[in-house]
Amino acid sequence: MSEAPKITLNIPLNRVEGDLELTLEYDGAAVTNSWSSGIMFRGFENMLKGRAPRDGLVLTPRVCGICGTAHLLAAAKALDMLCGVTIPDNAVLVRHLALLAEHVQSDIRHGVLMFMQDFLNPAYKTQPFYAEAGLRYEPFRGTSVIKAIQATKKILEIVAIVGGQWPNSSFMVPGGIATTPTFNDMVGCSYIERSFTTWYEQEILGCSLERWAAVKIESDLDSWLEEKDNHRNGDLGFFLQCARQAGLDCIGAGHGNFISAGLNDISRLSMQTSDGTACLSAGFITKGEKSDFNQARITEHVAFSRFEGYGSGLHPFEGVTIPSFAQNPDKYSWAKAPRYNDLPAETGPLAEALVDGAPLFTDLVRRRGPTVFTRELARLTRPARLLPIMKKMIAGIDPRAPFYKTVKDIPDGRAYGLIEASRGTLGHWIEIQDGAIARYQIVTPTAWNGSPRDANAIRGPWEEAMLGISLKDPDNPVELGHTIRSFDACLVCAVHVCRKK
Amino acid sequence: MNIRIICIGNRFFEPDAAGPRVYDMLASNPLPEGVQLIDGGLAGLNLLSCLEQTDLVIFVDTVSGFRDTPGIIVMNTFDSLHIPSDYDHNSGLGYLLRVAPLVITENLPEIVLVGIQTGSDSCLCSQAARMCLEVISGYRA
Repeated sequence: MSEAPKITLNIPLNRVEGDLELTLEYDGAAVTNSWSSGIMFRGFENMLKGRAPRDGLVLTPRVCGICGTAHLLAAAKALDMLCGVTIPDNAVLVRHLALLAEHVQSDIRHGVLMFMQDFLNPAYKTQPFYAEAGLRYEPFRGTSVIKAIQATKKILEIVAIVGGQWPNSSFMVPGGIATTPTFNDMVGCSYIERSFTTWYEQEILGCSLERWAAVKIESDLDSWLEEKDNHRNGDLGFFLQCARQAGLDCIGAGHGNFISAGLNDISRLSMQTSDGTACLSAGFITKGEKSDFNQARITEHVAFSRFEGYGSGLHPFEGVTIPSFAQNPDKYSWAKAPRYNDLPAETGPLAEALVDGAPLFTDLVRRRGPTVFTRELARLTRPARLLPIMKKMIAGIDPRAPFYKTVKDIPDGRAYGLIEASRGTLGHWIEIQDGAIARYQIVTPTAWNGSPRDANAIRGPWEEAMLGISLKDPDNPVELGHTIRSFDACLVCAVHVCRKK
Repeated sequence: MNIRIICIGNRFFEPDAAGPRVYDMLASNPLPEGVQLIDGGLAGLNLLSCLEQTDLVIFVDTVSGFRDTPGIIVMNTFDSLHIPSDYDHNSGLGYLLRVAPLVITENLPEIVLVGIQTGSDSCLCSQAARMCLEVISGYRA
């Protein structure tokens, strides 16, 4: 029997940050191969060479227009390590309070403004949820859209309060933070956190954080949905109904490897989530087995990336970023290919939940594997895990205690800062020689998720997640949009020019 | 009377560097009383809170398609601006201006855009910086 002819689809994707193109082979029944291309060279690492050690604190938050706090924290942690300083608990709390505020706004904006909008796709015109999705998620009009923008605007004020500046707060420095939040500042933060939590419970969850924390296995999820109108009418309940009807619980698996660098500083303060599990611990999962996280096992490959080549992967301390403009059809992306133990790994809210051992996601992935549904569910409900932690952080900040431990000179040497940014594992590796930056390597969450093939020709996570997806209409491949968006693709560093109509 | 000048753009990407360059110029001289200068960077929708508790906001940004030749445009209505129909992480000033009246329902400030078309040379940026101050003078008069 002859093989069905394959067609190649070149798909520019909207509603992702930056520039992403997907090329797919489709045999009429399913996607059989895929290539993900980041199409913009950035080169921040090269801009940093030769600069003063602290310049990373100012430059790297500009790597991304929406994750500035995450880059600032990674840069500050690298310098903390270089200086050998243990920062005061107050500084740990303030830094991470700001980071988690960035996380929860990102989760809500992505979920409500970007992911849910796909349910307005004409492909779903005959689905029962279509009309309601329009009322909720139509751009500029949808009831959930407007409320989500209002609420996320407010939660970010926490960063402005503790950072003393908005936007582009640069308050984290080696040794702690450069601001000294007052008692009144903490009262303000507490009010904002409480208001946001109330909004999140009412509008997104449709129940209290405590009730949601009791959902521990898949059957609990079904019971929870049946329990009350409020549960079904919240955005989370509506997502569950739409996503299942659209079949999102059957697509987008990927490799099944997960990485989370965690937030080791808050682990030090013994913060736990309301379901009793750790919060943002570090680890790596492959074949269902979790192992300790060790940054020494991270490498970056460029075999299929538009950079000057080297044999296999290099650890970021040895990393180089030399763009290659030579015509080479094998090199199809400006993104490098990060690997852990030479394996591709998915990162983000689902990876964090699995590494933390969150029971619901452990159960869902054990039963169904990772899917678009599970990935987005993890993102929409991450605030339920993080908001109680934020509350504890605010309560734990003592305005009378120090926020900074003196750091004078930055010594020569190598260090790194690894954290969980909104979209997953983010690392900065820095090397200082003769008082200046000799090497700076940044590995972003989307480099993990959207990586091209590595030296072993193994696909990146979302390239792999595309395989096997059946397209109802190849001219309107909404299934691929769902899958990419479940990773919250973010290729950063775009141009923002106001254009005439 | 509170006034904010918010300069938008990416200082590491030349085609989008005009706003930050105007910021640097304005920051190097004393500003009139009651005027706050903000480096808006690529903050997009995260600038919404900068539109609260103020009377006038002047955005400075790179624009395209408004003129045949390089120059400055000033507008206080935005019907001619391309507004993206969808939100994404890239959603910039156009989206912000469209969404602001929908979510800031009380005391939305007057908003003016000082746009710099084609290039970020220092002559155009100086002109844009002067224009910001003229807009403020005109508003106060």
